[in-house]
Parts: sequence; C-alpha cells; structure tokens
Amino acid sequence: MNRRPLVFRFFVVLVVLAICVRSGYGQTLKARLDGDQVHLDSPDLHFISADARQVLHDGVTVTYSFRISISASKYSVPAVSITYHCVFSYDIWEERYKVSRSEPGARSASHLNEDAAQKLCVESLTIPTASLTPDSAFWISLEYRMEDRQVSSSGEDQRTWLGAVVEIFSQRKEKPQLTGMLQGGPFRLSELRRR
Amino acid sequence: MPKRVILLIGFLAIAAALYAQQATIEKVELSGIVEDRLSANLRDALRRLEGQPYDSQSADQIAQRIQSELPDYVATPTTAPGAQPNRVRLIYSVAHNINSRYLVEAVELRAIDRSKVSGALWEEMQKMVGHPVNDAVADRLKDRLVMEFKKSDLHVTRSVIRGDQPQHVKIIYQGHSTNSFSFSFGSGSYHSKQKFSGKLTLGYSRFDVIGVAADLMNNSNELMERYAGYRGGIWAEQKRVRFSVNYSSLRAQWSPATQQAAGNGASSPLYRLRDTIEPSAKITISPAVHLTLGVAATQLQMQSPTLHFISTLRAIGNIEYRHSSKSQKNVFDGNYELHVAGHTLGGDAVYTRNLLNQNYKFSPNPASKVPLGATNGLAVSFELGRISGNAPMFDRFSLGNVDTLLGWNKYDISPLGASRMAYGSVGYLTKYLSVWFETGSVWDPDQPRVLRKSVSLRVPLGTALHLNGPARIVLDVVSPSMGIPIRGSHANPMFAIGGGN
Repeated sequence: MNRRPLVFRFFVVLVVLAICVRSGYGQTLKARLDGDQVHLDSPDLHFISADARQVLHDGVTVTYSFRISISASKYSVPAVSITYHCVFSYDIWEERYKVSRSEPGARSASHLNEDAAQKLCVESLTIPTASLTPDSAFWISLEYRMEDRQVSSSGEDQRTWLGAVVEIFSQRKEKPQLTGMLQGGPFRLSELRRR
Repeated sequence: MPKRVILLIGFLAIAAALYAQQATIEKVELSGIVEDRLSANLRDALRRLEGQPYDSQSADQIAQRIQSELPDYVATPTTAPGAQPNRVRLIYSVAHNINSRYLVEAVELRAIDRSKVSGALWEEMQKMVGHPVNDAVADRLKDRLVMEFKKSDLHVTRSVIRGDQPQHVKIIYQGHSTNSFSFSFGSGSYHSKQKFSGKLTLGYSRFDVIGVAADLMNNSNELMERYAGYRGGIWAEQKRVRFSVNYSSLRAQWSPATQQAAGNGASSPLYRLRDTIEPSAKITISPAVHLTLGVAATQLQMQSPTLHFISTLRAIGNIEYRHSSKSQKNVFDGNYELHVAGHTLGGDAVYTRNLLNQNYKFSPNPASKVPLGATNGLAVSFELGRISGNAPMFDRFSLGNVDTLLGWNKYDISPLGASRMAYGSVGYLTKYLSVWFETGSVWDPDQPRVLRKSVSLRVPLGTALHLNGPARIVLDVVSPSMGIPIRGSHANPMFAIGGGN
C-alpha cells in the first residue's frame, strides 16, 4: 500500500498551517463612529515586524506611516487620503512600549505591551465624518509602512558585478520597506456602530 | 538613645549643608525641539527658573507642562555644571524615545578599534555621559564614526542597553565588518567505540547577505557510515528567504559489523562514494517558525557485486519552530522533516522518510547574566522516525552514538540501521554535572522491537571550573561523558568527549 499521498497531504497541511500562523494573516478592518470621527479597528493587525522589534529593543525609535484611503468601491480610485505617523519606542528598563501619533494632532501612551501599542496606534487613526457622504457606501483601505531609518554605510563603491549584486541585496536589507495593506467595506456612515 | 541623638544631629547637619549649597539655576536649555513649539506662557516659566535655586519638584512640574503641550514627546529635566561654582544648567531633553528619560552612564565601542577613533570624536561621545539619551546627537556621532572609518570597510549600528546603575543606560556603537571571514571547528566528538568525528568550516560573507562556506569533515557519529570528504556551498539571503546550494563529495567507510550484515551480494546497500548536490530555500515564516524546501540529488558508487553507480533524487521539506515563555524559563523547539524520493522525481531509490523531533527545556534562572549552562535545568526530548520504501544507508536511522543512547554501540544494536526509530531522553543539568536517562529503539517492520535504556553522566568542565570566556566554552565543548547501558549483564560503560544531548 502506497502511503506517499497521505504523507504529502500531511506535509502540505503543515505548510499551510505554518503560513496561516504568520503575522498578518486573517486581519480584518473595522470602523466605528465616535462623535464626528470614524475610528479604525483591526484587533488582529500585528504590523511591528521582527526587524522593527529588534530596532526597538535596541532602544531606538521606529516610525510607521499609515495612509488611509476612502473610495466608493473596493477597486476605485480613492477620493480621500489621510496620512498619519506613529512613533514607537521601547523602554529598555520597564520593557514596555510607548506609542505616539505625531501628526496630524498629537497623542501618546506609554507602559503598553506590544499588542496594546499597535492597537492604540490603529485606533488613533481617524477619518473626519465631514469627508464622507452620509448615505453612500464607502471602502477604507489602510496602508502601512515602516519608515526608513537613517542608515550609515561604509561608503565603499561597488564597482564589480559581485559588488553590484551585493549592493542590491544589502541595500534592501539595510533599508527595509516593510509594507502592508488592509481593506474593509462597504461601510455606511449611518450604519456604523457608535461608541 | 545617645546613638539616635547622634544620628539626628548628623542628619540635620547634612540637611543644613545641602541647603546651604543648593545650586542656583544659571540657565535653562531645551534639547530635542525648538523653543517656538512651546506656548509663550511655558517659555516664560522656563525663563523665570533662571536665577532660582534648583528644585527637582519644580523642574519636574515644568517637564509635565512640556509633555502636556507636546503629548507625543517625553520631557526629562537634568542638570549640568554651570560656569560658576554652585550654579547649574537645567536642561530639558524632549524626545520621542521613551529612553530619553534615562541618563547615559557610559558610551562604549564594540568591535571598533578605539585607538583609530579621533580624540575629538571620542570626547564628543563622552559628553553624552550624565545626560539623557539624545537620539539626534547619538546618530550624528554615529555618522562621524562611519566617516572616520570610511576606508576600513566598517558598518556601524547604535543601540541603547541597560546600564549598571538603575535608570541609567549605555550607548553602544557596534562595528560590523562588510567582509566577514570565519573559521571554526564543529561537531567534534570522541566515542570509545566509534572514535573521532569533527568538521572544519571556512566561511566568507559580505554584508551578511551573500556568502560561501567550505567544510572538511570526518564523521562517524551521525550515520551508520564513517564519511570523510568536503562540502562547499554558496548562499544568499534576502529578507525572509535564504537560498543555498551545497555540493558534497564524501567517501564512506563501513564498520566490520555493517559489512558482515550487508554481505557481498547484489542486494548489499553499501557504497564507497557519495556525491550530493542540494539546492534549498529556507523561508522565515515568523521569527520562531522556519520552513525549508529543497531538492537533493545523490550519486552513490556501490561496491557490490561490482562497482556501479545508482542515483537518488529526493524532495526535502523541513519545518522547525522555537517558542519560549516570556520569562524564558520554558523553551520549546522542534522540527518535522520529510524526504520523498523516487517515482515522478526519478532516481533508483523509492522511499519516504519522516522524522519528528521535539525538545523542551526548563531553566528556573534563565537570567542572561548567568553564564549559559551554569544554571540548573531540566531537558526533555523525543524523536520519532519512520521510513517507508527502500532508503539508502545514509537516510536510515540509528541510535547508540555520542548524542543518543550513550552506553550502547549503534553497530551492535542494528549494524544496517533501521527504518523505524523511537527515542526519548530526560536530563537534569547542574553546574557541575548533568545526568541523563535515555531510552529508545530502532527496528525494521519484520523485526522485534527492543527497547534499550541507558544512564549517562556529563561534566561541563569549563563551567565546573568557574572559567570564563573562550576557555569555558572550549572546555564545555570537550567535556567528558560516560554512558552505562541498563541491561541484565555486561553493562560496560562507554566514554565520550564532546557532543552530548
């Protein structure tokens, strides 16, 4: 009796499970109304990457930029775009995170664990209701990106073909463009859950 | 009673002296932001502090006001000596980084030659000591450091670590060479029945993203054969994926017991040479989970009945994980590996090999300040293996070497290896001695299962002798072990150096 197909299936299931447990899988974007602001909520979103976490644990700040886009349908051109920046730092003595939204407006909180810091950052991203049509359906997409850190380099010229290859690899390693996107909808202002 | 009076008088005298020497604020400075970002009222309040006696409570209140006006910042007051005696400069450090509330205790260079750093730059770095962490200044000095080492192929990173005093930190400038060469000796062991094993590795990497490695090896511990030869490979890493291609050419040597069991007929599974080329990709699914997928093509020079070649082509998958509790007291790791050969892949061998390995370690004091291995702990592991089909000797299972069932000899247990394997071990580790109980069995489907047990002792020499640094590591690696098989008679111990559980 040939057991290979069964073993193959078992391994494929394991691989799929492993991919499922990777951060970011199964994230959803929700919205709720609070006064004249629409707040975003994504409880499963874990955008702080391993690289960012290492930088934070080295006592250095990490900035994530978030762009919220509002569009009439899932694939249409955004009608409104708002950009926010969240600055994270990690208290190396208390082993707790501080997060601050630097613009527009400013707010901050400290003594947070990693999940709470990320959650608070996302919750601080708001859309003014004035920019939305009350009865029209809309979609919200949230793009996030870890801002480039100022990177020092040796300044060495890469003149050889190997150097050029290495430069391609190494530049990407030193200046990570860690991005992600979430989309949710359709929402209607009148149907949004109020706080 | 007189003692209390003396203490009270002493306390009053010190308080009076401190009061008399209370410093006057010479100047108030703002670091990290421009003053215009504060309200006019707050700017006035800052100016009014000048000429006043320094009072930490008042300074903290102003810091609170700065934070309330700039809620995304952390404001920390600190003092520096003024131009005149008994005068201080009051500095407010305003920054996003929450660590800016800690004072810099020291600035250190690591993997950077201090003698090649200019005096002026070193002096600037040391000026950060005693002040709150200022990211802008620290980064600017890092750039100056990079400029000074521009010709010497050095990449520099900066980090902040805990200081030796509470609420203090150290700023570390760490050098990373663009070109990295390594030379190491690994997998070294000695078994009283199976003799020496070891591997010399020479490696070169550039920017830690591309590299080559070459191994010279001679190993009798890992497989049923003693193999000797070389392996060379190239790797490249980008973000979450590491690609590698390895080629190895190994000569096999068989024990008399294995040769006798195999016979000289056409069905003998023994080979002389084993050449393998193996491209693979290791994918980091999360920091704790890695998946490796690859293909390995092996050509074997068989020695019976006449010299001839056969080939195997197998797909290889491996998934591994590591999880530790927040306190680092409980650490779990393990992997599952699958080899599938033959059929649509081609080759002369058709088989499937499954291997599951799980480990758990408990350390009640996992603090990093205690040298690794110097704490008590408990380690539990188990392995399960199963082969269906006709696997070549290098993929068959064995137990009874330096790492497993120490006290038994694998050539006595199963000279041709086996297609089934179950193994478990429990170890108690102390600073001076570790004790292991091991049990396991290897068998083929048509053979009876015999469960073998052994007890082994290992003395971590470097740790036991309270050595530090490389001497401790080297001596721990070459630490002696003794394994005693648990059997009715002839329980002769076996000795080993290196390896171990």
